[in-house]
Amino acid sequence: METRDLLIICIHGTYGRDDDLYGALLTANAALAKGLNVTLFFIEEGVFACKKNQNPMKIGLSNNLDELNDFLELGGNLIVDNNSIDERGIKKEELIDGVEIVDIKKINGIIKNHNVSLTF
Amino acid sequence: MNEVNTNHKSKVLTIVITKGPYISESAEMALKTALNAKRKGYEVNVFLFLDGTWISHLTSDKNFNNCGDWLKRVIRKGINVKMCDRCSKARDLTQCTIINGIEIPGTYQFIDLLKKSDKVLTFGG
Repeated sequence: METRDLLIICIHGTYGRDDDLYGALLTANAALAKGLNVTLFFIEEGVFACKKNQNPMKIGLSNNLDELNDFLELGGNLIVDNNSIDERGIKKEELIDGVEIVDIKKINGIIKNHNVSLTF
Repeated sequence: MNEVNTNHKSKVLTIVITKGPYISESAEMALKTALNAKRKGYEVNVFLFLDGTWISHLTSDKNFNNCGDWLKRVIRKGINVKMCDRCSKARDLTQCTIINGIEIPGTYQFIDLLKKSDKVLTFGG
């Protein structure tokens, strides 16, 4: 069997948490470039990665939104857990365009639709 | 004459380690899982990613728990160990400063590894 569908689950917040998110995005974009169907699923603190107008330049870090936009342009699926944004007081309008908000109850189905999942 | 079943193919398990040693038990659990899976007949790959690449740097003997020893054991058992090229460069890890027997491929080879895997487990967090 050859993997065609890759699910990458991002549970950690962006900037200051090692380089988990950057590693996830690097893997996601490389997998898309190699022809895989890739879904990025942001949950818990990971949802902060999808906020619009991030500006980490003030703390000397590059902006992960560039990689996220590349991911969308390459045809990746970007989904965010509904509960996680509610718990953190994030509104849908604050998220970047192209994000799909899903209920956590759908996660089993999402995992089943992918051959392989990675967690960052 | 007994016929050898050439159609039998081991399932491929890839273990991705994203955290370094001495920060949690993730690295050791991952390497022990790799050894157990190999014993049970899986074809096993271990991929060191992000801070997981630091495990490769534990080259010397220590008089306390040593994750590097587990990694050496994994390599001795014929498990395929690779680590991320970009992550290694970021941490100045080269073939001269890491345990022998580890390949350092690029991100695309990591994707190829995932494509060929029946199961992938991530240890980190």
